Amino acid sequence: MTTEPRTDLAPGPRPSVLIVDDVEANLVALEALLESVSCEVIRANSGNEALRQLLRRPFAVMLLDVQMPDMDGFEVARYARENSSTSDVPIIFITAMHETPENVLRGYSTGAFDFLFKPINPDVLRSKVEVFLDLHQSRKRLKDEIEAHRATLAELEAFNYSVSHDLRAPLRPLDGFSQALLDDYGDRLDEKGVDYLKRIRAAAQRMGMLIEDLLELSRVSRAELHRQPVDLSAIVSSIVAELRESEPARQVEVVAPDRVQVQGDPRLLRIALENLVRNAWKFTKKLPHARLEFGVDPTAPPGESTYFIRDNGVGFDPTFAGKMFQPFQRLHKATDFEGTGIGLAIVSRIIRRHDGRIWAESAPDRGATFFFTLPETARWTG
Amino acid sequence: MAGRILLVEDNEDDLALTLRALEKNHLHNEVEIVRDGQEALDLLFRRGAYASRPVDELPELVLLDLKVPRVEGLEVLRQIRADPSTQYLPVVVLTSSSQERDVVQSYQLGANSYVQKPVDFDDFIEATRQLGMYWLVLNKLPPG
Repeated sequence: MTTEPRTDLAPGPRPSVLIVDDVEANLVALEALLESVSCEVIRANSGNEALRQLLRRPFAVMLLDVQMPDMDGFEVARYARENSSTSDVPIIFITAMHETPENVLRGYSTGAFDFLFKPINPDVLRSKVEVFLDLHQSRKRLKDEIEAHRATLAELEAFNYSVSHDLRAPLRPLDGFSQALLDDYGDRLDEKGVDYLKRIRAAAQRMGMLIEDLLELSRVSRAELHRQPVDLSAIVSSIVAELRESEPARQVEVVAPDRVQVQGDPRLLRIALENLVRNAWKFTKKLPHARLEFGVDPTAPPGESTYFIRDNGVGFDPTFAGKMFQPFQRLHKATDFEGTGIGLAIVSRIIRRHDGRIWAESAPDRGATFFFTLPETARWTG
Repeated sequence: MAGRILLVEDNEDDLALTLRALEKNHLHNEVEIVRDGQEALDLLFRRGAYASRPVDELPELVLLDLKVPRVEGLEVLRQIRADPSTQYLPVVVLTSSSQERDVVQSYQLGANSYVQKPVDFDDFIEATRQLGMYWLVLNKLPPG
């Protein structure tokens, strides 16, 4: 352990060390020993004075003589621990070996403490103080970092808010007044003019969807995870029922086992499955015999459960299998299949937040299978 | 002119679109417009320029945008719910925000419904139709 003046503790004021002893000569000696340590030394010549000082500023450590008249060191420590603003100041008791009954030592359940036995060895003293100074500095650094992250999060939150409010707002008149033109003046426009207006509307609506999906992506990233038993089968079949209702003309064979149950956040898992099932539905729309399968992969290694959604649709080029989980990655022409390219990014975030993985396998025109894992502890056997 | 619907909205585009949506549902003759929260409160509590307005000309439904000048929408809602004369007045929050906290706060303060103004104008016409049908035709207020 070095006794060199420390320079790596900058920036900011030097941390404070409180030395407590009723004998003036001992305070002078302690102060001299700490001269080479980069810290501000504050003296207290009684227990009461020590408690007063503790309330006035944060201390990295307190060097506390045990044997003092009126209030001894253990009593000072007890009072300091009882006050929430001083309870975690580390204490180094300075004591003769015979003064230290074991039952007293066991009494301190909060905060760090240590002992220095008389006669004091200067190197041991400095080394112990420096340990606490280091601890103090890293704590402070962590606290500052957490503060900074909190501020960033609040900024992001504010940004989301204004995206949701302010970026969407101009889209409404864009769409609404285009529609008004079509309604009220459509008979004075030729086919081309009508087509242009329809394109403006479509673009405004598409941008609206993009903003919604981006907000959803950020919501699923920030939302608190509420783990509880979730029946994936029930979710899949309710999504399928909705899809059948919205497109009654489509014939889609759906295969799904009953009661596939996991531990997870029901709202988020529903959003994930909705994206996957809707994709399977979408990418089989040109097939006369569409097939959609949900299930548990029996070949998964022990320790995790693998689930899959498989379709027999257009599939995708496996070269892009890794990229498709990033936002805005679209592997199909917009004229073939609509979409914002954010859905799979949302699914991927949700699975990762559950400590799972997601990947996909496919070949063009041979369907696609999306696998995702959830940790085995997430599997609910009930 | 007093109307059965009080529309609290300051954005001119949204105002024109909302009026058009109401017109598509034959409700535009029923609308009175104020452009900030303070004026909405003056009207509802018959203060200031509205001091001489008869009680029976108060609106039956308030369409309230959250982002309005002077007194913000949520505060308008809070004051409406705090006053015995307006505590049961149906208030529909109309906003462009889909933020959860706006939705939750609106309901906590006693909004009857929360409508996120959709980008697709056809959807907005439909939403307006349902609002008018429900709050002006089907809904029954407590007696008194």
